[in-house]
Amino acid sequence: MKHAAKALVVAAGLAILPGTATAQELKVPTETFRLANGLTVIVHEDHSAPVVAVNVWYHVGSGREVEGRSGFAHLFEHMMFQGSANVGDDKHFAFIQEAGGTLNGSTNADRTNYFEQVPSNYLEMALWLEADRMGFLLDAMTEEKLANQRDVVKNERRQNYENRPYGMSFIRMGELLYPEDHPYHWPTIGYQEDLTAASMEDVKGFFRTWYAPNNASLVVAGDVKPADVRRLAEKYFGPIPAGSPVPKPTPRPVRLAGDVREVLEDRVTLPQVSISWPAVEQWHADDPALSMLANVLGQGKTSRLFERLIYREQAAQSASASYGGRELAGSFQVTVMAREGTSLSQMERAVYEEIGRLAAEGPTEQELVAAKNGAESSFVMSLASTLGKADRLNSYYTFRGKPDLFNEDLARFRAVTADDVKRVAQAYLVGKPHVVLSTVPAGKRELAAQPMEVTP
Amino acid sequence: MAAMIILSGPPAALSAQTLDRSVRPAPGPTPTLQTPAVVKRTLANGLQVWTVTQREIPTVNASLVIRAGAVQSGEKAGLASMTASVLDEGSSRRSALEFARAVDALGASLGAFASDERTTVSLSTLKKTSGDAFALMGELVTQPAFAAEEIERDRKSRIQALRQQKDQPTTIASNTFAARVYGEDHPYGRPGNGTPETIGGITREDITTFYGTYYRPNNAVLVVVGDVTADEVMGLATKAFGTWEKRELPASASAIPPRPAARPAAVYLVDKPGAAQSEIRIGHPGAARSTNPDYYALQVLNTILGGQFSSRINLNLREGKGYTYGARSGWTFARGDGPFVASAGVFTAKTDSSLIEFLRELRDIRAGRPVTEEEVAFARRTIVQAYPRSIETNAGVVNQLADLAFFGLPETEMTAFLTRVQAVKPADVTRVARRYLQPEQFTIVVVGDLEQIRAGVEALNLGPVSVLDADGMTLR
Repeated sequence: MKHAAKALVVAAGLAILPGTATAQELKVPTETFRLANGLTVIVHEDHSAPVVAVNVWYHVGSGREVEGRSGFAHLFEHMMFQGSANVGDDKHFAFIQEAGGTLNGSTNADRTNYFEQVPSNYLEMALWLEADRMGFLLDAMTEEKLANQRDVVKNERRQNYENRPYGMSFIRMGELLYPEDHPYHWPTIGYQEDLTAASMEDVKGFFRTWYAPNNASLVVAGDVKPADVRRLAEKYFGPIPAGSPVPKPTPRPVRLAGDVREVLEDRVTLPQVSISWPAVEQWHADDPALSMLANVLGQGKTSRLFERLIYREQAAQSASASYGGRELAGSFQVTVMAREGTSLSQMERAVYEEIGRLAAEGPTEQELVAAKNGAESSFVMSLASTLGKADRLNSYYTFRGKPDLFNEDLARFRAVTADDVKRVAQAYLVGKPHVVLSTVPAGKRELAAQPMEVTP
Repeated sequence: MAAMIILSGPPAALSAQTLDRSVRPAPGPTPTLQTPAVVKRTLANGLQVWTVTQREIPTVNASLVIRAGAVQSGEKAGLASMTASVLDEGSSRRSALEFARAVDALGASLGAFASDERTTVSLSTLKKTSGDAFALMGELVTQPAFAAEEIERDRKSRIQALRQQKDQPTTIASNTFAARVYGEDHPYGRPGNGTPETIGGITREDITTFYGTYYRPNNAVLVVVGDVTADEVMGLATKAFGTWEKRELPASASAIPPRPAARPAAVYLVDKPGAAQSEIRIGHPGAARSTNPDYYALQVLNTILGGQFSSRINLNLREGKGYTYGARSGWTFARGDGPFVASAGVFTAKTDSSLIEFLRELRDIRAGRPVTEEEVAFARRTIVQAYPRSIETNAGVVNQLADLAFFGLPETEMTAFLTRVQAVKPADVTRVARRYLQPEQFTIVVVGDLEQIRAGVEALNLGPVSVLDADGMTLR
């Protein structure tokens, strides 16, 4: 826990008081190499605990799905845990859990990740498991397994969307914000009928197209020596043949022709309004300023919307703002849940007013400093676990081509000025077409936010 | 960053010949375990301070555990929870928002939360701001304003949130289960967040009395882990909590809720028209934590039964049958006998089938299909080998130590636990399965679309079936 190499180097001359601009430097040193089959391997040494995190990213997500097969990338992720040529049914989980490890995978529109954290003496087993499914998944695939996981994923959709209050509004917002042919139009979880249609042929084709080593990157972070990782990576992953080259997606931001308003009925007590604007993709120069704007507007007790709607007016039950940047496009979203007896139109008006105020005056110095200090803290805290570091290294590598970008990433947030926040509020929100989605208790459409004369 | 090196790998054919992938690689030698070294001190006012120095990253995590929670609320359900949430809504020196801004300015996070038997005030901060952050933590704990307007604001918000609970099938299921297993007058049966009625009746005086009675240094322990020494922590703690006055504690502070009388099996259905899934809860009172010698065997039992993905219940209901996204079971170890519960959200059309499979697993592990030597060895390894992960982060160490401190167990239990788990034999597991799982006393709660599930559930003859109102409380 407290010996050996430091994962993080703290720059000299800190003595930092909140409010000053200098701060500590984040370093997560890595050694990176590429196998002949195109698999990139990134090693980060951290001997602070006798554990290792293994993290594999495949650069494919629901954004690469085809018409009629929504949800397939995620269903496929489930199939990756069902055994491969040399790993029996349900043994992938069993082997890692018997080792005292933790494991999972996740799919979003842009990528699919698989990860485990095990005691460091189980490194070789973890790499063997990952290599077996990267190279030899199809040898063990059966119709029965596919049918089972189709049912499991349908239940995942029921649990997390259909049976969850406000769950369907998340799906509907994507459909309204992006045109039908845009990869972010449909939800990563997919539509029930498309899940039903998923076939064994789909599994084979998807695997061959997207799961080749040249479309993947492997991060090993923890109590390991780079030379050992290199030897084992060559041993287990080296013989897997490369696949066809996979083109990198290019950003495809969207524009709405005009405002869109819709009302969803749900089994809920309180009405909620979500307002979304198309915005820039991740790593765009404006992404940090949009994040800061979201923070000042609607993240936490001291944010503008919280202070006004929850403390002062006591009209809302909750209020939040977020900027979500993805590989192809991004969006800026505000969600407010009204209390009984207050109206969504009142919430919507308050949102526009607060955005308008920030666009005209910018955040205060105090707000900006707090947002930056919060960003810095969360960056430092994200280095606590090898699991977290490994995933971040893979994200930086996949989207930016370099793994250790912690410091550069944080520097982008530190550089944001009050004028930047004003400028992005004006450029992307004020007077720009947006989606207003009201979710109301069943049979109470009259509670929906009503169109108003003036929008920001 | 190191430059990218392109390796010329060995020819694939050669490699394939020399590598036998059918053999699972054996683990290397077990790495040496560095057990966190805990330094224990006590302030003059009786506040115990446990420190672990971990210098991996320049951060500090701290939890102040106060030994009072929903159990001490008595009939005023929600009192402990409301006291904790109004605690950080302003001090004698700052308003609620001024306080929140002071915390934000540091980039720190600080908050209080009450659970059944304890209230935890948690702090997470960078090392460089730890002086100011601890000062704020002390201000929050020792000088809360409990301003009337903040109490009213919190009350409004809580009542609204409680009215929303009926939207959420998982919450209805869990609250209904607790109330039916323990009874609505038992500390573990009452809803910790209260009801609109109890919250409506809580006065400022109730809150200040609760605070004055239980929020005392001699009823608390401070656990600090991070880039800080024990001496530094004593300095920080003395400044933050030194003026906090100790006081004699009433008997209620150490009350251990009694085990309720055994109840025969019963089924409760809550209607959620149109629900895509049914939320299932099955169980009864379980076991206490403190000095229960069966604690270790119960952990092994649940690891096999429903404690992780590779457990009997999940492998059957999810991986075998596809009825659910995940099914599980667990003990809630408390001062008294907290509940044992098996749970899942299942496809509406498979509600009765899921109950059959749940009960099959719960009965089989007692008799019929008792645990095997192999399963027990697997579970022991799962638990013991998870230990290095559990102490990887500061927050992980804080949570474990806070738990031990709360139960009055020594810090050496962190590793003694591993030895005890290693000693668990299949016969121990079967013995505790038979003693602590009583299928004829299971309370079964199902929240789902009544019209679709009722006939199927009734046909299973699992006990008398009652239908409850949407709040999960009133008999229809």
